Amino acid sequence: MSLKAVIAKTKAYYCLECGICTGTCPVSRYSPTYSPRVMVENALLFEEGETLCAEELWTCLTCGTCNLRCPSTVDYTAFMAALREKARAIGEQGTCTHADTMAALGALQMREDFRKPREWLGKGVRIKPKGSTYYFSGCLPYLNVVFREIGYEGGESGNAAVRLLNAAGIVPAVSEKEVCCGHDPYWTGDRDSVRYFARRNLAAIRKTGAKRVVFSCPEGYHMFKHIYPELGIKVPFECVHILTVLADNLNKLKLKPFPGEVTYHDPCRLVKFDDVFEAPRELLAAVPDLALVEMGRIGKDAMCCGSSNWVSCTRVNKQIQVERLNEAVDTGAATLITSCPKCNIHLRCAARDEDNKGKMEIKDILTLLAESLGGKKRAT
Amino acid sequence: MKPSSRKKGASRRKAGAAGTAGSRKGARTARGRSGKTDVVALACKWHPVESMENAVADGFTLPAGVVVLPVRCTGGITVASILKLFAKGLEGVLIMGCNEGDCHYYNGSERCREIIKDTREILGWSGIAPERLGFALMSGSQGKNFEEVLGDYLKELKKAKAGRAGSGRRKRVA
Amino acid sequence: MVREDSKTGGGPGAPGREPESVAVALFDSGAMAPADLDRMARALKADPRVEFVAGPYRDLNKKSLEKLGDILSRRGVKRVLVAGASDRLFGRLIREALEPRGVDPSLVAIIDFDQAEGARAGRSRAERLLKLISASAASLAIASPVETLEAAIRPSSLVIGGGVAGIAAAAALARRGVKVTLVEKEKDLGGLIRHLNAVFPAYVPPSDFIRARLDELGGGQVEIIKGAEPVSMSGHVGDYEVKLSSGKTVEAGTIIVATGGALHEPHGLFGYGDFEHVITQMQLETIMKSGERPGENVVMIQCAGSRIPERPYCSRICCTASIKNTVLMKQKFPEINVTILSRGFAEYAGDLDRAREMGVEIIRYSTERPPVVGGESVEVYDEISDREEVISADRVVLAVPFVPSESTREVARVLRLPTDTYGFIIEPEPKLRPGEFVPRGIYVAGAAHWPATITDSVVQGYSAASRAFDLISQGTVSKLAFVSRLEESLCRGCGRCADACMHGAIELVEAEDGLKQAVHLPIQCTGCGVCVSVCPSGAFSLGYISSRQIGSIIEAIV
Repeated sequence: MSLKAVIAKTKAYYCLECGICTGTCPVSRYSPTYSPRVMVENALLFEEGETLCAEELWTCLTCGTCNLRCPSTVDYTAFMAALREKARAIGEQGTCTHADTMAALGALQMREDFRKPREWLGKGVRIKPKGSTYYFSGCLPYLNVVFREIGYEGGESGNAAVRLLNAAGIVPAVSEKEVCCGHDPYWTGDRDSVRYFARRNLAAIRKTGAKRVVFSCPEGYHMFKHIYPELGIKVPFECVHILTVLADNLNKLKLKPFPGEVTYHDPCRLVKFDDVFEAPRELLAAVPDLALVEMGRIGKDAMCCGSSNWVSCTRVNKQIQVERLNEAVDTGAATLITSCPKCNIHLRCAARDEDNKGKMEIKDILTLLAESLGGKKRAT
Repeated sequence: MKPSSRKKGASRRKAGAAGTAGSRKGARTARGRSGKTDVVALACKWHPVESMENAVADGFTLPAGVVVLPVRCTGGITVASILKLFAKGLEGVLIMGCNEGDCHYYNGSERCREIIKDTREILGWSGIAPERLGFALMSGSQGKNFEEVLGDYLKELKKAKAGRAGSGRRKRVA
Repeated sequence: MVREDSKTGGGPGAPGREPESVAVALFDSGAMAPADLDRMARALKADPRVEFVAGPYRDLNKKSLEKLGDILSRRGVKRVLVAGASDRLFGRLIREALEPRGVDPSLVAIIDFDQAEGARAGRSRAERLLKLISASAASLAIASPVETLEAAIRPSSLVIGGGVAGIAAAAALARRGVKVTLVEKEKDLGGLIRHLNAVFPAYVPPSDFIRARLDELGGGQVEIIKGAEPVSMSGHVGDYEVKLSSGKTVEAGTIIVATGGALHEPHGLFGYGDFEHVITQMQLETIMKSGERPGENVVMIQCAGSRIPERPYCSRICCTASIKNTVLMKQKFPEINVTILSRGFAEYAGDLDRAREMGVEIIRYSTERPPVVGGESVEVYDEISDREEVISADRVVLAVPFVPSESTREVARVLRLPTDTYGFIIEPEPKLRPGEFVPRGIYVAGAAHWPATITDSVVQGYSAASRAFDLISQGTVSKLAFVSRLEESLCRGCGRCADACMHGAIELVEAEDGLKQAVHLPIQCTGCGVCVSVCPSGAFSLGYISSRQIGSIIEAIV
């Protein structure tokens, strides 16, 4: 798509230069060079080459807050995604963070013999090869290894997800042929990989006969529900996030007391690109003795956790994370609840550094609910 | 002269198959196909390369399908670099470093051990037998030499390919 | 693909940048059949990425390299891929021979034919090697030359520790006109030997010895700072800055660590701490200094806490010390009974025969059946005569081993020096480069390094001083920058790199925004790449090869 077409599609030409986007943007708050308004204006005024070669192209978190605030309804994140696709085509790319592990994992999944053994879900879960509901786990098993260093336990939340579904009376189908949902390739301009992964995923899910796919990761949910259709990929199943499913089946979940004060961080993919806002709160409210103290900025106003599709991890990101952590600490709660692996990892990483060590416990909502459900924890 | 590369009974590749024989039925052995590399050995340029050169001087030659790429220190090998090699469809990757205590950069091979552990775990959760990633520390002039180490690894790899050492299910780590 | 001037890592090599011309030089190492070698030469000549092919040369020696150099110089080609040689064995020779002909040594790549499968594979091997060579040539064409780093060495030295080793080192350096700062934790110089009653073999008090050594330090060349210890270090080879607990900062081109050992306190072993009459050899020295009678029936137990699984080493000084004390005791108080329980004497046991002549009984015990110390006697199983003995003892003296001193542990931490399992400071190549550490310009002498006798300590002190002086005389150190590269703006200050770097090449400093910032010292960097693998931000990359180059080689051979 030419730059002109991108501008037209995303309505970038409606930009009033009001600057509300920049005022909203968490990256702009800490980066002296990044501004959504400037990105749009440059694209409208200057050479395509300059726009595409700007390093700032990769610092956007794609959190989508600016989209919601723009009075001209410019779709800024779609604009970013399209620009990045064009940039990639001329050989540009973002920083290779985490020693390029996540990108390499994506490449590895291109092997036709790539399989995700179902043993990774751990013990105490009931799953089956065919069923009407499919559980999509995404990169949890790999995040588990890569981020063990900061104490992240993806395995626990995957195990918790299935146990909770079981408790809600659902025995989900899983397939070993599932691959990456394509979220990070999409948001970093690699649509070819997205199409490839989508083809493999849809084939694998179709084989299970599922009519409905449940996601524990907001990013996977976002991809199947919004992005695949945008790319013209037909998704013949109902796509729903696990928090919605669990909230709908709250009466089946026998939750035991879990005393404490917690606060909850809304993931961008759930509240800014979709509307999974009430469900987690209903679930937390249903846990006896648990009190939820909300942060100042929640839902559509929530501040992004600072994660970036793995292409940017600088002090700007860290400052964003620290600001959000401080906001959580200010609630007085002992635990910060997350419902997205990326949020959990990034906030946890910021907390790990010397200056922020031990500020708060960070816990995944599914792990919390599963613990409240009782029963044995996943044997690692 | 008949081309020696065509093996009888080789199964047809499925369209789009990006890799090598995995756990598929009728898997052919990939070694020795003309021009195709099956195993890359990342060998530290200090002790392992010395050992290789000594072995070569004694008449050893690399088996077909194996290529040795010297690296400065195994400590600089990342999870990503190994995964990318497997992503290309390699059968196996062997990392050869210097014994702990002999590392020219003090603790490179120790660090590599941690990387290997994590990478094997990721491979296990990806349906690739962790044994396909070999890790051996050695001395340039003592103990098990290059030929033995490589031989041991290729034996393990053969087992892994036949599905005996692990069919992609998570097995022992490191 | 990454832009060369892009801040996003990935190293040198840019899309759209014109590849430079690369020549391939083939050497006939005997590893390939001549026909295959010729075929390879022809194929390479036809390869558009190769400017021209030199050789195949039959021999790899100065003459053929000079010929090669001439051709390169005539054709104006500055990059060459040498195929058919061992980088390890001939790398230096090749680069040194070609450099005068205008070839940048960092742009000489060397590939061995043995890197791909052997002669039996015939044609397929040649194909595979051809791919490897072709890809390497393409990679070389887009490589960036590596610069030469230089650091000036300050003509000064900081000696940490004013014991025997430190004093020897300081004196040796002062004699050579080097400015020395000697830092000692205690209020007096001399270290452990101050506590000794006498020194073997002269049997003189240590004060004589100390005074003689201290005289060597006179003359004002050596600045002596007492009562202070290092608390932090920054800088690089040739220009270290060490901050002391007294607040003062010492700048020095070289550092010698001589912080010594301490004597192990064997609580609970052989009754130490349970019975008042059980003491160590060092405590015996104190008694003897005072002129007191040590006891009537003295039993000495050797290897008390050494040569056991926890500490399997021999501490080297205890045999000599015990026998020295025995001889002195028997000289002064001939009627005292002395029995030594030993697990075998070290070769350097000193005056063992003299002790025997003076009537000292020596009983051999084994690890499996250690002596049992009671309130008035010691039970021991005599391995030689195969029977249990009960010896009256009103004084039991334990020969305990050296362990690293607190200062040694602390200084190792501050200077980022590697330590072994027991805490002694260890160098990467104890045989080939003893006393030298990967952070160059730092040397270790004495018991900080391993249990050392006084002679050992003096000799090591002199040796460390000699090495330091060599470095200072060089004036500068230079090296090709095969190092990592840090893009500072990408750093988020987590500190994983500084923790991981064993070479002192990364420092974490306070930045203006209150977060930390990593700073890279290329002259200290060895290019091992550990920082690259631990950095979450992708701020580090290998400065001497780009991911594009690596990717292109792998692409070609798989």
